[in-house]
Amino acid sequence: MNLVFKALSDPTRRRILQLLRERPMTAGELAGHFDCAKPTLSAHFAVLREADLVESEKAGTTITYSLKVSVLEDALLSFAETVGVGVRAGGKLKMSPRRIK
Amino acid sequence: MIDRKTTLVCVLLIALMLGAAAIVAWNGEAIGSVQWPLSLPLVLVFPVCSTLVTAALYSSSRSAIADDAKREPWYRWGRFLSISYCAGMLLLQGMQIAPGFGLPVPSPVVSTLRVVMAIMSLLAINQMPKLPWFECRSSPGGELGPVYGPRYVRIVSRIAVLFMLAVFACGLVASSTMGVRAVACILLGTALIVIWSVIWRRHLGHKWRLERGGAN
Repeated sequence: MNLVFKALSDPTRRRILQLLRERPMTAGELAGHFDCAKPTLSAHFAVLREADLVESEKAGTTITYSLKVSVLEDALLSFAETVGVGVRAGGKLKMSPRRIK
Repeated sequence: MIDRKTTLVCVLLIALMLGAAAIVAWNGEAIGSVQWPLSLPLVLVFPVCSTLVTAALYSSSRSAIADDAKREPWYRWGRFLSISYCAGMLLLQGMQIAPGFGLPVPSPVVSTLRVVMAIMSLLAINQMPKLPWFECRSSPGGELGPVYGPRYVRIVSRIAVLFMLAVFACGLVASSTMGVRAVACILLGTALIVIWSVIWRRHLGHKWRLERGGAN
């Protein structure tokens, strides 16, 4: 479960999962939605694969990723997205009002 | 989806339940319905439910269009669900019958078993979207494809988990013996979910056919 929380704590990885909710996509298609460098994105894919949240299928030189989330993991993804876990505001992590005080 | 070996184990467990029901019926006739506290329909509910679950899982494996790599995770999942469900039902039936033979079962034991079965069912449905998608030879709406198929399973399992959580919450809040009205509500809710899932599957199947036709 630690791996799942780690994977869901990053906004980029959550965005990848949301894109995969629509349909399975190739690594190239997914890369088109982000400004990150390809090695960075590959590292994100590795984290998601390690957490067993995505499945990859290699056909020739193309890797197709598809979503592989349980009902609980899907709910956690929606929750993390709603709360905005790990979302940066002005270069700093968003903090709850209580923490800011 | 279950393999033959698992089906045989489930059939054996169902046969045990039917055997227990036959003993209840035989005792009821021998002693007389006034003194005998157990009713046959109540005891028969357990093997009937187990048969329905096993038959549904076995028929899905018969109609599946999937290779061995896709089947294996489903077989593991089906083995866990069907055997633990049938074994749980056998135990519950035993606890229902035991007081009739002068062997009282403490109510915490029954409640614990019910909670364990509830958690087990939730875990099984929770894992469903993680399993590989496969098409069936005969299913409403026809093929759903790699886009709509997994989406259909995700949404249906989410609804099923929510419904089950609502039912278990009601069961915990209500008294230990749920009334006829509560059972009717659960059956109605189940029927509505089944009807909705069939309608939605047909809609997605139609969408997939249109998209595939457009692509060709």
